[in-house]
Amino acid sequence: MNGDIPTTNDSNTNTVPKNDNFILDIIVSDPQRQRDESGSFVNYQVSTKSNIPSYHENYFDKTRFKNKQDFLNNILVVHRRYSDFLLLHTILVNDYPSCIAPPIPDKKVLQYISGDRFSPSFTEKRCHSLQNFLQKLALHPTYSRSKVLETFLVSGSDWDIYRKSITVTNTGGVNVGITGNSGIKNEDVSDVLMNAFKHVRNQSEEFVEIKEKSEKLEYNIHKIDKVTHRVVKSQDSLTEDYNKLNLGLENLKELISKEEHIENSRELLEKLKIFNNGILKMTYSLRDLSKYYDYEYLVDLRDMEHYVDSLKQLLKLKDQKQIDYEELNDYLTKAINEKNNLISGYGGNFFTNKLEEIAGINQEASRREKIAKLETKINTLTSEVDDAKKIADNFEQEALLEVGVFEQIKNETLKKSLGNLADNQIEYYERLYQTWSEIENKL
Amino acid sequence: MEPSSGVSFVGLLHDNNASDEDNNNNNMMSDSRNNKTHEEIDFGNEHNDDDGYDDEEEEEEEEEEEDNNPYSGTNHMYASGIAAVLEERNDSVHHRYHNNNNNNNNNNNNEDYSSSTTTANNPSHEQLKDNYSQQLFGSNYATIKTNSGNIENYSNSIASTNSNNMNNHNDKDEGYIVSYADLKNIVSNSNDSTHNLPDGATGIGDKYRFPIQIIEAGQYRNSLGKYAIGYTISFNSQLVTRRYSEFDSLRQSLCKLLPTIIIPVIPSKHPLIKYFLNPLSAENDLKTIEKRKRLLTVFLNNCYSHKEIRDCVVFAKFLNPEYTWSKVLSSPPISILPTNTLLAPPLAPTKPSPLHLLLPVPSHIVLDPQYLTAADSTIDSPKFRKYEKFLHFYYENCRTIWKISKQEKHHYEQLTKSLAELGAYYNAFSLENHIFSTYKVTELSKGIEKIGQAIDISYVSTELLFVNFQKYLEEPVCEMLQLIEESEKILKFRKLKLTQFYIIDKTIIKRNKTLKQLENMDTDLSKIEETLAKNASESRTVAKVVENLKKQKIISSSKTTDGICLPKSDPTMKSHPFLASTNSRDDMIDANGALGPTGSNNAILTSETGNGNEDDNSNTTHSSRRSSVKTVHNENSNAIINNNNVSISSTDVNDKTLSPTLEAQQVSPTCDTDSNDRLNQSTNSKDTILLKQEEERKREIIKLKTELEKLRDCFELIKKDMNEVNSSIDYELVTLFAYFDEKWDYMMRVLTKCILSWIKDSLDSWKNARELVNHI
Repeated sequence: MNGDIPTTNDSNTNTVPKNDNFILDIIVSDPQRQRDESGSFVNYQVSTKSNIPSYHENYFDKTRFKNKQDFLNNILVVHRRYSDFLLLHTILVNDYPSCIAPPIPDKKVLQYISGDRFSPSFTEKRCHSLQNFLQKLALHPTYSRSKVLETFLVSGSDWDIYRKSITVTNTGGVNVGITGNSGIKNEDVSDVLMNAFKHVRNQSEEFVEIKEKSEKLEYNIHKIDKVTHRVVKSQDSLTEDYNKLNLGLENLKELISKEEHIENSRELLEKLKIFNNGILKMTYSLRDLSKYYDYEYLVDLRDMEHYVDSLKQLLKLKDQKQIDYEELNDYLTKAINEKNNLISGYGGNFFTNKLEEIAGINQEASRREKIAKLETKINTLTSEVDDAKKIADNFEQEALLEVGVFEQIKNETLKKSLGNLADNQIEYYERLYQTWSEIENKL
Repeated sequence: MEPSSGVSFVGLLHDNNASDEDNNNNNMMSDSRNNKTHEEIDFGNEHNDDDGYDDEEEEEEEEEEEDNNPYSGTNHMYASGIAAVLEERNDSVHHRYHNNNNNNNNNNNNEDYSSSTTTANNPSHEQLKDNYSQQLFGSNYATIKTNSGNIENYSNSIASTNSNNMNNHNDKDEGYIVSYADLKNIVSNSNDSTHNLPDGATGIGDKYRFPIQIIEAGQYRNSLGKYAIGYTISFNSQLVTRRYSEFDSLRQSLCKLLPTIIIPVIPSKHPLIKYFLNPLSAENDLKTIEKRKRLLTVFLNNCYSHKEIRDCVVFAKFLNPEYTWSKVLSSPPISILPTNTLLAPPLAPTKPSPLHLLLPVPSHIVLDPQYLTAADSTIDSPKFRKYEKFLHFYYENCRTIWKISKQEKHHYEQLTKSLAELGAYYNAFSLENHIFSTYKVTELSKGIEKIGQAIDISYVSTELLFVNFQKYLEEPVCEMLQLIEESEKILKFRKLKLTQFYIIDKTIIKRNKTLKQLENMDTDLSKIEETLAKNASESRTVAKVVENLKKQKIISSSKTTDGICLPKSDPTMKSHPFLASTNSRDDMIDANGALGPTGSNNAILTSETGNGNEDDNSNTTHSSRRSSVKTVHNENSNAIINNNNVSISSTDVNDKTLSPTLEAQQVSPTCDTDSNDRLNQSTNSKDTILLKQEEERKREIIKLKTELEKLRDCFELIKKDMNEVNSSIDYELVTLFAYFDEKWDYMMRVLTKCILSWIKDSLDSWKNARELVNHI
């Protein structure tokens, strides 16, 4: 798998943990409408299959597990609602700012208003999207090892405590009930605002390319999403047509069956019946296929789009760090220049010099004072610039690493998604093939 | 037939002979050598050099023949069609087996096809088949002198070459043909076909089923030197090019010539506006032309399969290149068609029959089963009403299906468009799916590309599917709709005929009634006279009356002999209706009015039967064959005369129970009704009139009897007509239903094939994609 990620950075292979012996399969299924004192909500069943010992040993009788296979046989099932997923997402985003967080389906306020949020078309789509979210987490080397995820996937009581003590604010920030500490976050926000209109001057070639490619990737997926949507639409209308054709043929059959004076029509009636049956099955199959497209494949595509969006967010964050460093660096150079000017004697304004002379200020003394001031400034700045550079460089490294992870997860997800697509298409055609071969034999 | 084929030929047969190279461009030479090879089957695989110089005569002969064909040596269709000679056929077969990959195969196949058509009815066909197989065995297996071949071998080989040939092409367009080639197997198995494939893709099985082929459609120059789209028909080795409008006029002529037969339909006309905006030209409306070509082939062959149409001289002339179609249209039998097919023998309208001209012409269908006689139950069978109802429902049903299929087509168009786009995007995606720059084609890219390919194939096969849906669902259903419309037309014709029948039937009944009444009147009158005479002996006043009566009688008789003819509009004459009527017999117009005097019942009859009856009556009473007199004129004059009477008799109209739908023309009888009223009244009040009329009455009875005789003749005629029409239409409809059944059967089978091939194509491509995705 690593061969697929051609990076110039060797640290990549060292730090990205290999997932070889690490199994974390998550399935989200069975959206169920439930009621509690505050109203209705939808519960999703989250089933996990994993060989990570802590997943099992912390919650179950350790003696049960004699070998690794036993871990896999112990399927962990919990029920979570959408807000739980949202909470998990928020915690993870805050905990690991340098990671590309997989997208979570948005709240869909509209559906809440229209009351459509319990319809299968809504919950099924959301269910699949949530599964995509968890599966991407499972593929991620950092996220998959986080304790929060483990709690989310395994424990009943622990997660309840999380839910009660932490509330998610609208802005995406987290208010932790007990400590209420979110200072770091606020600082980041002000940085973002300050540097919103600034651009990175010395963008490394690597990132220029990553940006460009991610744009293209997003564009392609977006286009495919759009056109697939259209395909689904025409498939739907075709389903309708088949249905109508089926009805039309049914009527014709009835009409012919009523007429006694036509000979040979028995045989034809039988054939019509067989043929019409085929059309009917075609209707059903096509409907199923469209459903798959609508509920799963399109959701996959959209999630992928959002995922690329997350990547872009990370890139922006990285840029900000870089901008921080560059700003500081500028400031430092300025200070050094000033100092140098003063030392060489050319520094300062002629008029200010004159003024100071008139005022009787000892030019030499003040100059020395200034130089001393600047020197301390430069010293602090230099250390700050060094820090900023370190931070920026580190972040860049991390980001690069993360992009590699992204690439990996993206490939995995795409493979799965395309495989599913092919499977569904094959199933669709195979069903039809069976039906129609039978029909051909009978006709 | 192409230089290239000749080259490879020579190469095969005369490897070592360098001198033959000079002849490489001479097809005829190599062709004839092939012939020769065929004749000396023994050579088989050996490709003996020696046989290269034999049979110079034959070679020359052939050259001559070939020279006659202006298209020889080209890919042009004519090359194959015109040159459908036995020797050449052998050539082509030979060609094929030596040059399987030659592009010219299309041509050869087609040639084969047409030449076999030529010999389809040939007694020497069997022998030809043997020739074929000998040749086959000779060239393919090098078997020496095999006589036991059969046509199946032959066709199998051709089929295989066909597909070989098809598989050589890689273009997308050619892909269609491959599938067509698959389809031809279905076609050859089914009884009916809408199948006409371009070029050589026509299956060999078709040749027994499609005696007529349209081998080319495109621009041609007609006799006037005008360019038009022509359809070149190949039939019995003859080629004739006809335009769409000529097909149209053929069809119309056939409809008139054979009014009781459902004439196969042709595709509907190009909308006129569309024509003005964008006239049909060979380049830009290929779709329409292809569709027309296909449907016109079906039309011709359906015509051909119908005995009546096949035997029709017009149809034969249409297929014969010696006739210019415009001249055929202006010559018999089309030119001598009667203006109204109702006044002619229904099965042969061009054969004149004087008695038919006496039949009434109903302007609308009036079927009144109230007047049914015993004979009617067979003539007006309820079966036809059932048919009509059934057809109506069938029509509605087919219409909905047709609409659905049109809609479906529209949606398929959208789908294929999206699929094509999607395939392109996937391909783009396969190139740009990585964040990191990489020059290595990754597995993912391959997988995505394969998915894109699968979608592309889905697109192509879906497009093919919907083209087939159009061809095998929409078009046949449309044809059915047209055919139902046609059958409704002939059913209407039958109804008009039936109306004729009813009119005559009713007239006979009325006439009989009147006759009886008149005869009864005779006896009544003699009774009255008797009583009067008896009374006269007792009373003087009565005796006076009797005397007066006798006097009047003399006067009236003298008037009669004088031949005074007064218009009936004269109120005084109304008291002497018999007189007036007898005198006016010579006058056509008055004669019509004169029908009335026979009684009020007659008036009802006239009012109900309408003009036709009057016309009929006038003709019958006169027994003069005034066939040339146009009914229209007759009606008009009637109307004029009768209008005069309206004012006078309108008050009397109510006296009798006349049908409320009295028209101007029918007033004349009412006027007579009124006179008849008076006649009846006069039996009590004015005996004088009665006495005077006695003589007239007797004359009238004789007239009525002759009339009745004529009517009975007509009745027999129309009865015969009806029976003919009934049996013909019954047969036609049953055939039509069978045709429909067959068509559905065929459609379903072909569609199943199409759907299956679509599924197979798509399934394979997706499986392929799945495999590659697994490797990611």
